Amino acid sequence: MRYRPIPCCALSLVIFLSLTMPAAGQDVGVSENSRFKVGLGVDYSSRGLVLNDEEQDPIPNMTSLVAGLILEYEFEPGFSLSGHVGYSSSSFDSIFFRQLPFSVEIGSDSGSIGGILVGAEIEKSLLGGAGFGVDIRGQFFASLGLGKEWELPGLAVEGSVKGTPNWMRASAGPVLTYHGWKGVVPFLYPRLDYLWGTLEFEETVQELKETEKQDIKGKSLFGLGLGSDFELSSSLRVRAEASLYPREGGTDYSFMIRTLFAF
Amino acid sequence: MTAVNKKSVMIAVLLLVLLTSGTSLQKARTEKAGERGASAVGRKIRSLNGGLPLRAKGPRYAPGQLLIRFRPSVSTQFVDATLARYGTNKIKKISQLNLYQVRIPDWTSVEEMAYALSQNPDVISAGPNYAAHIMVTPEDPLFRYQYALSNSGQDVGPPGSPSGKAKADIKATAGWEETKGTAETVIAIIDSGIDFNHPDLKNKVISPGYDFANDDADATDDNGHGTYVAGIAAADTNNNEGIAGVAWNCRILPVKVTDAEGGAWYDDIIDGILWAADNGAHVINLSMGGEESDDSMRDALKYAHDKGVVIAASAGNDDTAVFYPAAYDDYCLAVAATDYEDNRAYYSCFGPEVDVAAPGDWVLSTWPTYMVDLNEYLPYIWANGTSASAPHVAGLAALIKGLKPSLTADQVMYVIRFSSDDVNSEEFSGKDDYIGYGRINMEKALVPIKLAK
Repeated sequence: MRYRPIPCCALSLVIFLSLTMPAAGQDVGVSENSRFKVGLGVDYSSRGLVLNDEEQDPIPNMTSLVAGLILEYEFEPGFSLSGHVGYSSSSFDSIFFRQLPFSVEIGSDSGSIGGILVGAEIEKSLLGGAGFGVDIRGQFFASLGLGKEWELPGLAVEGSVKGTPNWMRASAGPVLTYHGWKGVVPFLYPRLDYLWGTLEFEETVQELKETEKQDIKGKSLFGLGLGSDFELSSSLRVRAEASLYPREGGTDYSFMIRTLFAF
Repeated sequence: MTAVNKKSVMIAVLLLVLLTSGTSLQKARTEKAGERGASAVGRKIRSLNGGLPLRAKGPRYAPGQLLIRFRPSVSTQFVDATLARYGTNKIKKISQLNLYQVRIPDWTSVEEMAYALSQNPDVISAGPNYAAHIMVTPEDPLFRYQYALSNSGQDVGPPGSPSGKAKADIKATAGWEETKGTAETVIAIIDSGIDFNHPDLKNKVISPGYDFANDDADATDDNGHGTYVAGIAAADTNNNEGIAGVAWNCRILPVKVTDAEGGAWYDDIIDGILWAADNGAHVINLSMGGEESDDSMRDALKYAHDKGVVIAASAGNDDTAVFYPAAYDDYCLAVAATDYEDNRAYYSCFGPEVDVAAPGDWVLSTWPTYMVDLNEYLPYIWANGTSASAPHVAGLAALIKGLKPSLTADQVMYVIRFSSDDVNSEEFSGKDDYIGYGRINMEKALVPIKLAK
């Protein structure tokens, strides 16, 4: 998989700022209030793709639904790091594999392909008070496909093709928050958002065995999220967010909801 | 080949049917001619063979000749000395295989000399220079009148010909939705040459080719068979002229190996295969065959196959075992014939070597312009035989090669086999000796398969 400089630089910047700048209203250093949180999260997204750095018509699409466990460690109020582990389900539309001996098309009728999701998120408050605040947030998620097999109908002999997607998403940017309402912290999260990976298909028809791999990349590099944190109790927080990813020829979108329990 | 033998070959293979006007093609041509105010209004299309496939006849091998293959380590000087010791005279050397065509002395027979040489430890093989024959030969002009008599508006050919069955075809239009081929893909037609001035071929030929039968660089067709075969594989298409070829945009490399009667010696076929493989062919069509196996022929096929060339060869028209080179299963696709109802053609050779089938009955294709009276006839012809079947497969192979250049020759062959329709499944389910995996299907071979849950 190719080196992706944009997400790496953005994430590095977020990590650098998180480690070097004091959290808003807090002393530098690890807080005595550090604590763990666990939770569940669900994320749905629909993203237009570029295949092998070439524009396609119609625009290929990836729809993913991921659900996972979250373990968050709060170093100090306003500075947290979380890890994510879960299951991903990815489906694709309008993607052709024409270099296989028998060309195949994966489309809306092809179903979804499961995968293992791992990820991490770092967030730190930089400026804050009773009113508006500024945080920085960086995210990295990877879906490691488990593969799905389809029969190839209509051939003189039995054959099948197995598809395995592996994709990653990195995003980083400032989070503009409003702390004026009790228990509700709305936020706006403009960010660089980079989606990339591979979709590999392996075809087997008796003696015929061939693999074709395509690089996939999100068509949009920018996302704008609008969401809110709901402090339902001192130990329960819910975060909901909807995001848009403008791109040439349309807009992609995603929805996310998470619950976190402190203990 | 003696003049008498040549004559007998010619007589045996020239079976003609008079074909007449009335097809849509003829109608279109007539209308076009009328628009131009030409005097050619009402020109007819002729047919070869009268519904009968051509069969190999004549001598089995070249009298007084041997093909001797020496081990690669044996030097030219040593070979020359060895050949002189046996009293043979060298005619030709095919360097890639260290193969020598020689003339043997009068005092011995081909069989005796072949046996004697095969005992030499420096010799890999020694055998006759076998004969092959094209599967369809030019018409006898006398039959043109009978074509006119059968002009009754039939569906699959001229009037009087039988009607076809819907969908008993190779699904070309669906396949063309995916690809019409590329100009970079070259189909070598190893046959009787080509009519370079044919309106449906002149823009498709990439070079003058080579004439191994006469050892010159002029592959002009003096028989008609090569022009006929080339048109099926890759006639200029969508040009408001004549017929459509299977591989619309692919180009043709003519390699002439037969004499004017359609007979070819194995050495010329071997030369033609090697030359085509070395001169840019991606696909080779061999609408010809002989009854005898020959290791050098097999190795020539292997040479081309190993260079990525896909080879389609006619199974033969004798309703017997598959002919050579089609029977060399590892290196070429042996193509049987089906008819207009997806039935196996009665004459089509059979055996485990048959890979696939393609339509071979009443197939319309190009014919040399100088072999017809253009004031009366169009330069097209109907004919029958596995000679017509093989170029359908060669055309499909060219389309696949153009679409998927990374595939090996073996992979292309498998795609063609596995995408075929088992049209005789009620009688023989699965691969059988008569049509192999089935009648080829361009749609299945080319169009992406939609994956469903």
